Amino acid sequence: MPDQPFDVRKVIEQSASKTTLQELAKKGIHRVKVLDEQMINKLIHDAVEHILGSKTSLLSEEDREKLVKASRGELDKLIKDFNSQKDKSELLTQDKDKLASEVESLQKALQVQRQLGDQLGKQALEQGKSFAKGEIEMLHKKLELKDQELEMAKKTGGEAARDRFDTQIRVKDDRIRELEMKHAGEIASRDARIKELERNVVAAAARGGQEKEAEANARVMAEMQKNVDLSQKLAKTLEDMRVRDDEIAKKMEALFTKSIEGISKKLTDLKLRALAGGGLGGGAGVPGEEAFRQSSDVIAHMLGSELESNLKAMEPTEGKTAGKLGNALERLKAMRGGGGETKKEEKKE
Amino acid sequence: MGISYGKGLDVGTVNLVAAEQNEKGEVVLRPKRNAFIDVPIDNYTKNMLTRLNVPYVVQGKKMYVLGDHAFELANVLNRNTRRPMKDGLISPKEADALPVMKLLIGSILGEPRIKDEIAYYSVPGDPIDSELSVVYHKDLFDAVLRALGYKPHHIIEGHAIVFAELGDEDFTGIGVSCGGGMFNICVAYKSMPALFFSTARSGDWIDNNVANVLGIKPAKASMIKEKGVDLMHPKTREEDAISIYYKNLIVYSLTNIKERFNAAENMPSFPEPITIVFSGGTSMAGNFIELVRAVFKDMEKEFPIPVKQLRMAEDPFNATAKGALTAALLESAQGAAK
Repeated sequence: MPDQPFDVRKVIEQSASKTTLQELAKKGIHRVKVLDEQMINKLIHDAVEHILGSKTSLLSEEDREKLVKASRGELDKLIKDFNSQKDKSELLTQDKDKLASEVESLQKALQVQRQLGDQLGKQALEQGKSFAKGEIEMLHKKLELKDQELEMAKKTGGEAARDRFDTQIRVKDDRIRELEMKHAGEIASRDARIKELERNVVAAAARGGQEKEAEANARVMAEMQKNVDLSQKLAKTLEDMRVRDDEIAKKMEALFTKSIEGISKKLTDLKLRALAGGGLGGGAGVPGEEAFRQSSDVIAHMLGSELESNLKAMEPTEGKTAGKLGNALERLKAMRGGGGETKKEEKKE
Repeated sequence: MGISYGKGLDVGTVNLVAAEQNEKGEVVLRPKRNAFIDVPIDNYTKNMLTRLNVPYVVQGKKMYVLGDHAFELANVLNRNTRRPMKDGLISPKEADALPVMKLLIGSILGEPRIKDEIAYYSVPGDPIDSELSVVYHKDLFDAVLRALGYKPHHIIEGHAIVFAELGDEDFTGIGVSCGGGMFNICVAYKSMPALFFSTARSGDWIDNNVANVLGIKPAKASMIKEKGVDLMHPKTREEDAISIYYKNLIVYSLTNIKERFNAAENMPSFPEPITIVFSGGTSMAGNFIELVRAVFKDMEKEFPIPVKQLRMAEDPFNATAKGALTAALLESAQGAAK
């Protein structure tokens, strides 16, 4: 339309097609001619001058210059717009490329992390397994050791206890012998003393001194009494020592039995805990068990308590008469005769 | 006529029966259902039960209705009663039932009329087909009767039947007590028991097997049985099953008598044919004795003891209690004679 200004930019955009250097290279175009902005302006100016100069003489020189100036201004504006658009699109392309590469790098990092996690997990599992295996082996060894210790304890514990007991007995026997020897010495010396006194008495009697005789007799009696007391004391000491020995023997027997039972129980518990699923299972009764029989005290206690009831407040249960027993009782009495024999026969049931 | 002191007690799985002699020499019987049932414990219930003459007992935090009323209440409430005894013996599952049993027995025995009045109670013979022990049962009932003020003695249930029913035959023959939990058998010669045992097959066994085969509850089988069954001519499928199991039970019992008699040592020889008497609730089914006779006919030749007749007891329900009473009176008389 003649009134609208000429849109150079639109024309260039409509006329031009975008391409990349790689595509030109694929087409076999390796060298291109490049026109810069100045050259394009000059070309347009020259073209307009030429047309204006050659085609018409209607425009004056001044009008022709105005026209050229306006055209140039228009052209500049178009080129400027084009360049800014180009810059913007280049920036956007750069941003896009940058984002794409960031995504790619993140994906790679994630993959690496996953692989690392798997590896670490496997490692931890293997370590755990080998640790548990080691623990189990250790427990088995401990169990075997305990078994051996128990066997040893059974053998040696009894022997050790017996040895200790024997040692104690020997000590006691030695002590008893010591006391006996000591007292025997004392008794012997006292016997000698008594004999001497007797001789003195005889001598005194021979001299005819009654008072001295009585005195000597009294001294002999006293010495004899002392001897008797000493013997009794010795006998009591021996008896006490024997009683103490018996008590010690009983205590040691009880302790020994208890300790062996305790060890057996602990080992059994250990074995049961170590074995998977428990040991012996439930319900197995011991063969040869006696039938259950409650003690009379327990039964009496069960029956002893007075229960709250309305039975006493109620009418007594009515009985029904059912004839007589007939001769049965008399016949039985005749048959059974005396009472003693009958009771024995009934009890045999 | 003076009172003869002494009492008899039939300790049955289903029923308890006490027997004593009054001043006229008549036998007085007091039966009671051996059962109890839980009821809510509160004052209102207690008052109501007392007003209705229904016996109850409170044990700990529980209250029980006893005896026949328990059975009736169970039917009304569509529940089962609890039974202190099972298979003829005290039930191990009902350990807290002992005080209740003491009350039940006390209510039918009453107070002793003299100090340490003799009381004979029935016990089953040693069972041949189960591992149940009678020892514990005896200990408990000795204690129960002692706690009630009696001097307790026990008598084998089959032997009590001999005392009650074979007096006219010199107490020689076989007494069979067909109870709910067990069959008790006693072969006696001149009142002395020569052989006695029990079998765990009885009324409950029939109910359970019939229930199994027909796919019904044992309680229903029991009800059909007690309602009235003709064992020789069953009319329905249920009656047929009941009849079959009854026959099986009779064959089992007679076969065991035969085998036990042959295996036992020092058995008396019976010069005269004997009588076999049947008693007990399980024998009260219709035509029971006819069925027994029919079964016996097939094994008569192999039976080691000559049999002249098979008959029902005159009073099948109370024969055991009467026999126990006879034993108590005999003991009492012999004690007095000394």
